[in-house]
Amino acid sequence: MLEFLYSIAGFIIALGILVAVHEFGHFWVARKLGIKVLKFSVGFGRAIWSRTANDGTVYAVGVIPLGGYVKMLDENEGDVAVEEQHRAFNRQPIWKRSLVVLAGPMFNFFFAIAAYSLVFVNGVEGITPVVGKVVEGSVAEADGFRNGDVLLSLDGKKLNSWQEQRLYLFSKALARKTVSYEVRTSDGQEIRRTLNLANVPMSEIDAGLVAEGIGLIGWYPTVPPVIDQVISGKPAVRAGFLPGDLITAVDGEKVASWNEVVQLISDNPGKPLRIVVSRNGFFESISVIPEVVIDGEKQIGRIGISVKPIEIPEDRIVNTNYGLMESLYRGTETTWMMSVLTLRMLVKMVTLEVSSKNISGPITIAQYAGKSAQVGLTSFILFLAIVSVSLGVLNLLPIPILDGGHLLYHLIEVITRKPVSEKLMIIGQQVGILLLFLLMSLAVYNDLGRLLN
Amino acid sequence: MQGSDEPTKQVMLKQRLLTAAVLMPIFLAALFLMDELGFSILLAVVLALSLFEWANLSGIQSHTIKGIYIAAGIIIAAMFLYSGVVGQELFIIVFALWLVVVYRLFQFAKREHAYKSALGNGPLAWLDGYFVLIPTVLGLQALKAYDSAAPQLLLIFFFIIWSADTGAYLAGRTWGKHKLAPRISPGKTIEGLIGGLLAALVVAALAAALVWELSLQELLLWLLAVAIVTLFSVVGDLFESIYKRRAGVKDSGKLLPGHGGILDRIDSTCAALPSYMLVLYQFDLLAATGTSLS
Repeated sequence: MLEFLYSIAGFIIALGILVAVHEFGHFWVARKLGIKVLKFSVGFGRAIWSRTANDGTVYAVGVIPLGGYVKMLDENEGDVAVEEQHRAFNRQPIWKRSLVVLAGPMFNFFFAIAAYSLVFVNGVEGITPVVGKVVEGSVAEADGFRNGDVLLSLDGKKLNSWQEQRLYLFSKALARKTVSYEVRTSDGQEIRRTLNLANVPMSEIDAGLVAEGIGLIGWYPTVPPVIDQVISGKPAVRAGFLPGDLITAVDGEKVASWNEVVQLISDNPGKPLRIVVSRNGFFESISVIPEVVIDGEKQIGRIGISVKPIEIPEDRIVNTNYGLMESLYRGTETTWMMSVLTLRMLVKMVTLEVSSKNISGPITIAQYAGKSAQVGLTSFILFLAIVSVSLGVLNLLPIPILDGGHLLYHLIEVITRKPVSEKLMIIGQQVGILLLFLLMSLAVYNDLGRLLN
Repeated sequence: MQGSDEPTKQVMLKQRLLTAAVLMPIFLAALFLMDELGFSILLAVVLALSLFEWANLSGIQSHTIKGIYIAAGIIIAAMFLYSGVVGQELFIIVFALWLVVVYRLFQFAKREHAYKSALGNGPLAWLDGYFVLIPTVLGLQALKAYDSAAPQLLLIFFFIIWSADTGAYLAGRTWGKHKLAPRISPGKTIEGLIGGLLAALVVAALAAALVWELSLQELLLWLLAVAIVTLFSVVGDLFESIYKRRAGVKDSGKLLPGHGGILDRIDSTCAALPSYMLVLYQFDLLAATGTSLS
């Protein structure tokens, strides 16, 4: 519960920072273009702090930390003295107005680039690039990759961590190219292995590319099959499983890792299973019927037990840091990729292509990237960067009341050669709010769906 | 200002939209529903009509010669298609020829009425028609063949060309001040060119974001490539313009009410496609099915 409150608080602080960045973009560009800014407020509502600068601009901090705003001189929002009209927003040529509008989302992207770059300079944690499993029938298996292969370099570039190859493989898989690895096999030989990415189906080129598309799964410590929690109301409770039980066999098959247990239970939805556990030195055989859960297009089984997260041994964790220029480049690249993924997620949501499995949003990506392993400030900065990107992309959507909606109005103005009428703006606002609510309901609905599964 | 023009302008716009409403379904059907054979038959029809217009522009009078010109063009296109030489090499040559066209345009822009140096006469003008139109048809067919059920690469190409067109028109109308090539096409402005470029880049970036996973380096290369493709679309426009100017006509034909002739619709496509094909080859986007292209 406390953790939950922490994450809520963290989210509000993050949003506060990022909205401030966003509004500062509008503010800064408006001033640079000679538009008069009346008020720049971080946070809404009554001001808990405010100062008036020499030029009359009011700087304020509002009491509600969600959001903020920039108020510019504008004849649509009040009378403007004749001698100040040239500084009013609505009197500016359309390209200036568009730049002011565009600046908000742009600053969010700049912020993300800076944040990612900082993380890259500081160093990214990852796991040593050792193959833990090669999926049967996969491209990787066909090209000879074996369990225990240490990946030394990829196309001549030294590989420091498992996570580092992801972006590169993405682009090469897209280009249908073959990449070449230098590999140390488990018997100590150093050889060259090629991976023909042209054989990866186009549809698999997504967040799960390396594991699901190519079939290479990185080494991860074996999680012992010891039950940590038995979730109330699920089959495991009724069957009599207890925390601390060590599972030794499922349906006659001996198991040594948590993954094997999960696999066997998943494969048997609705079928009675005989599970042997070791409890206080005695073996017990328990019968349980996994409940049927819909996962994407498949039915899988669940009984409602969970495991304690395992710590990755120190000697398997690598910290890679980069020089300033390389970090900036990687930061920009990551921002671009995150924007792409955010946009795609939105498209998928709108087109109702949202089966609970297939949606790979930025958060999933972050997990794939192994960043969830990070703690403290770094993870908060990464979180800020992701939310900043979402804010930037979301605000660029052509929905009235968002920045993208303003740009849409500007486009209409260019096409029809007159400003959008007030009536249309009011209708647009209603539609915009409706669309936003729809989008939010969809997101929540989808997340709930995932939680319930 | 131009009060008397307004009604005709409105009629023109109506016609234009109506024609577009008829053409769009045909275009979409061609892209998504037709198989390769149907598509190539459609292309043959478009090629025939375009060659007919080109024959008029380059001053062929006799109907017999027009017929021979068109038939020969279609046969040449078919021979290319079945000979298996439609590939990177072909488009490098065609691209080089378009660079020569750029040179010819500069020549023309410098000296008024320098038709002779910039344009071919007689057979040379006829060859220009083949050079402009046949590779276009071959390229479109290759793109369709690459993925005939979901022709992404074709769709992205047309989105780029259309957004460049529309962006140039709107930006030119709103901010247009500095003429781009007053002797060739007095309506074009530098502001329009910039607007077209920006519109094409935005659309290209969106397309890349939605369809591919590009690294930053590849994204920048892709945008640079799209900028070049867009510039060539303008070159195609201007090149047809000087032919029209010499022939003393405003439109290449009357087939598409409100739009002019077919050539007026596809002139930018013709010049942009070879560079687009080279971009795709360079990005290895066509490599996977290299053989089916030839």
